[in-house]
Amino acid sequence: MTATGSDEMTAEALVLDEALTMSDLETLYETLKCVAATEQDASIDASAVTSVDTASLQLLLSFVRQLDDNGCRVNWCGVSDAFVKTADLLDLTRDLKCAA
Amino acid sequence: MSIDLSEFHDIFFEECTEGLSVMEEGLLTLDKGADVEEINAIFRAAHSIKGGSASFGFTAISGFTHVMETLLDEMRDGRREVTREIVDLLLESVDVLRDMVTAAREEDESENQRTAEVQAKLERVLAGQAEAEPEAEAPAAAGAGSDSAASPAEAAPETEEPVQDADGTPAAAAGWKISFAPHESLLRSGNDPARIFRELERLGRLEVASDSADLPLFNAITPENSYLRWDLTLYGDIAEADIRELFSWVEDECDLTLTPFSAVEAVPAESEPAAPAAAPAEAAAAPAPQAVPESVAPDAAPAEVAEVAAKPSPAAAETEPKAAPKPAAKKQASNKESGSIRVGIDKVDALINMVGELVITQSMLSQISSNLEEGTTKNFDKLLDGITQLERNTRELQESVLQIRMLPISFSFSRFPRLVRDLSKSMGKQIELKMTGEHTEVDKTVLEKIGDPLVHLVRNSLDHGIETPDVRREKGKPETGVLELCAYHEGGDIIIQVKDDGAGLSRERILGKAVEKGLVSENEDLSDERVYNLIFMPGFSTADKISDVSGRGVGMDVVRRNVRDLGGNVTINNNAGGAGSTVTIRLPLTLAILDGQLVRIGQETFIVSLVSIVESLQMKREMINSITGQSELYRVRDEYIPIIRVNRLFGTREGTEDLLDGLLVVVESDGQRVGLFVDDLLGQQQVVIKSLETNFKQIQGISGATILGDGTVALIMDVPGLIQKHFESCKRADSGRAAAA
Repeated sequence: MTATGSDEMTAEALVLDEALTMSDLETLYETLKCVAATEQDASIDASAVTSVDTASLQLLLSFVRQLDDNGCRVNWCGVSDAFVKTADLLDLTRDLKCAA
Repeated sequence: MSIDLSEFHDIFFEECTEGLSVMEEGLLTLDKGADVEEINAIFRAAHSIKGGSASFGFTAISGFTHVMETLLDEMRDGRREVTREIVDLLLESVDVLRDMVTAAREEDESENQRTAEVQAKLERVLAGQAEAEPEAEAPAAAGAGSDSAASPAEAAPETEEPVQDADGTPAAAAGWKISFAPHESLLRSGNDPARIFRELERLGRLEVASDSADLPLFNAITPENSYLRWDLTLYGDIAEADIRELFSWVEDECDLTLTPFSAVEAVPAESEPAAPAAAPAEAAAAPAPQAVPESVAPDAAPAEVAEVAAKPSPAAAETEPKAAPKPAAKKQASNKESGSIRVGIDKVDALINMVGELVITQSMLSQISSNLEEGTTKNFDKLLDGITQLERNTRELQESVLQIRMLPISFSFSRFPRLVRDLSKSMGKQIELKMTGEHTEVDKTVLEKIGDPLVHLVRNSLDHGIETPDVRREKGKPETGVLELCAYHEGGDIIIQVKDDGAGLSRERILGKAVEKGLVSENEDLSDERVYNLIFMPGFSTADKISDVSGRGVGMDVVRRNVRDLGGNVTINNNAGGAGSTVTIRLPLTLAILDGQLVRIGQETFIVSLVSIVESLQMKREMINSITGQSELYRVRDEYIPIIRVNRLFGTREGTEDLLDGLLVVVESDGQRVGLFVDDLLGQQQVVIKSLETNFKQIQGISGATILGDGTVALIMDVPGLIQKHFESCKRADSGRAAAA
């Protein structure tokens, strides 16, 4: 998972990898945990994503909700077609608030 | 945790191979008349390949199979007459599909012109059917696109457009409400709902409503667990089986409910969504976020959505991430080295039982040994019993393990019905193929390597053996010739025979050709066996014409070499009564074990494969000849054979030097006989072959090693390599002498 370092999470966007799959889920979770711990708004850049699976979207959804509960929000700096298509396919676009 | 679906590709490819065999065999039986059960079996095989290929993202295969399946569907429903032309086309399609599977296995993404041609042929045939039945198909076909005349359910995935009427609303067809609630484990097993939904989209218009009520708080989530569930609505006249097929991989890991709804129910549901003009694009690009009744306008602008919808296969595009080929390429490389085998559970169970027995025996021996008292024979009998038991367990375990590699010869035989059909057609002959003993089992490696030699023998029989109908009629034979393939076990070997009732072997022609080629002298008195065996000589052919089937004289020598490489031998003879000939191949059941003759040279024990040994004899001085003081020959009846002093060849200084003190083991390889000079013959036994190359290095003249009962290592002689080494050594010696002179 290529993501900006945890300390800079608040300042920089978390850039998601091209492929978000089960194999990198744990890394993504750890990264998101660091971001969530800051209790600030987060920026995510999903513009490079060429494939994403259900597990990754489910995790991102849980993350978005966590931030919501904390009174923070996720800013999607960019989302690729592939990312939106899969989110649409699973009917998660609205909950992820990532519509292109 | 890393789950790579490509790990399952091998299984899929094997299933494809089996499915293709089923299709081919089934289609061949259709030549004899249409059988609904057989058509159903062919259809099921095609359907499985389609489903599997779609699940793994091999969209080209699933697309092609889909067209075949459509034709087969018409045949099984009686809407399509089973004709020779249709069977030919489907057989050609099977060939194409086989090539596609091979290409997928090898990750060859190049376009195959033949695929497009055959697919076009299939589509033309299907289109012809639609012209014949315009009324039955018209309503849905209109919605599926005017250039496709397939039924709606079939047209939808092929054109990758949802089933719609001309105005963009879903056709007044039935649909399915699907409740899909994955169990927590579903994602962990490598399954992905998104992939399934993409495939569902190919069947018809899909609407998805997610339910994330069970999604835990972020800090409490186990990312690999599945917490979401979905209610899906799939529109179109789609068979339940087609939907279930897509869920077949996850059926044990989800709660799945399929409820059909009628066209009448569907229409009101569809009347509510937003503007009709936007509906088609919306449907193809992104399913509405809500369930059927309350469609919410998507966030995306209509123009953008329409652009996405215009792409032929949004789902397919995403299933092929650019990064994918790299890891898959590594997988392919490792596959080529290892290969795989599908083993029946009964064989694995037997193996587990054997290991269990072994553990019990080991435990028993441990207990006895702990109770042994020094200096006494107490418990000695029990110890001997235990060792006997261990010996039995080991033998049974060995047999069980070897069984795992055993596969029925039908894997090899199954290609012949098609081959015989095609060749007999092209040669204008009538040939009936009879196969017996297809369930005879043989080692997988042997099976793989015997395929090509068998093909050559069958082609030879068809081309040179069995005559054309008019010739057969003139000879008073039935117009239809018979080619028999049979396999059976005999002793520790498997015997495979290729018999035909054709013209048989002509001793005169073979001898004439052999004399012409200088292989034998004109006045040589040879037995029938020796004459017939001449056809195994390189470049030997009695064919008057060279055909694309055989006649170039390249082949029978290769057949014999391949068979010998497998530790077997091949013979050919005319059938009794002069009706045709029989080629008999004798092969060992496995390559892991060898029937060997133990020989002693000095203090070393060597092993010679029993199949190579012609005879062993004690030499007489008057029969020994020397050539230029270097090569020694021994006269065996009317033949002089070179004597190979194995000890000198391998550079050991041990062993008897006087030829009269030792023995000569006459061995044969590729028609060449030589005598191996050894000190003594020790006995015969089965030996387990260990690779010398893996454990040490390759040595010319040695094919492997084994461990004897006393723990010492014995080298296994490679007779062809040994002969080659001997002659090379002689040549070097001659050159050395010439240089010195």
